[in-house]
Amino acid sequence: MYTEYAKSRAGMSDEELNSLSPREIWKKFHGNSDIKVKSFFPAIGGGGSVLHSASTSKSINAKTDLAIASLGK
Amino acid sequence: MENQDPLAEAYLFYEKYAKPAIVNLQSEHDEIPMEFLLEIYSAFDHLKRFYINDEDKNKVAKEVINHLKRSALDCYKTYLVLFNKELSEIENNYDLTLLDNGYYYPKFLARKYDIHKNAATARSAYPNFTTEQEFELWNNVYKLIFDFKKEMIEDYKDNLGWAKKKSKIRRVKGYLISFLLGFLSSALVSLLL
Repeated sequence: MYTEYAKSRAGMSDEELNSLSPREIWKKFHGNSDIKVKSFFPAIGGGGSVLHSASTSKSINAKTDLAIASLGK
Repeated sequence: MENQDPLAEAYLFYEKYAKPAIVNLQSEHDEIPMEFLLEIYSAFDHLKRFYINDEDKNKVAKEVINHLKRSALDCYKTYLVLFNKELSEIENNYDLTLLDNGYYYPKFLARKYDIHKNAATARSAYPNFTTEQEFELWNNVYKLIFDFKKEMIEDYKDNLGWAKKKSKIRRVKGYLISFLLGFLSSALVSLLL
């Protein structure tokens, strides 16, 4: 299910969004700009590159734990 | 989805969970998480094994769905981390006690705490639960965030804007009063001495 924000930003319904390719969805949000990919969880101790490894999972879980703790305050 | 082609089940899972999760994140944060793409990459590789390497269809479908579940899980966790940042920003800059005659903020806190509780339960599922069980728990957290954003942020957009303005005015007033008090007290001291 798509958020109201995603639907209103694209100006489309759930079904219409489902029918688009990833590139077409990117275009709906960002026009012709290049697709940007980001690691929200760079691997712990990693350098410039991001390895999808146990370290990345640790990083995801570490940041998730911090967010959970913060929500509980 | 019973008696359905197992690979069709995988595609349906993608359409129902993985794709909306990534599109929702992308619409709010203008970037695609690499973690998600790597899981899709792995899922695609399993698909290849059915078509090129004659691997069993059921086994392949199960692996594909597992990777898709992990891709959605990564999105849900990313969503929670970013949601927490968004809430901190709101709590630090908006006087939420001004809304709904003071009824808004307790509701806000109760629902925030509910998300915290459910996320803590979902998080404790790893590594003792199966990916399927973990997915169910995180999907529930995601739905709670989804509803929170709709009912506590989107529906209150105008009121929140007003509360932010009021908070800013109060802050500026506070600074001015402390500045004036400081100025007056130092003037008084220099007069007395």
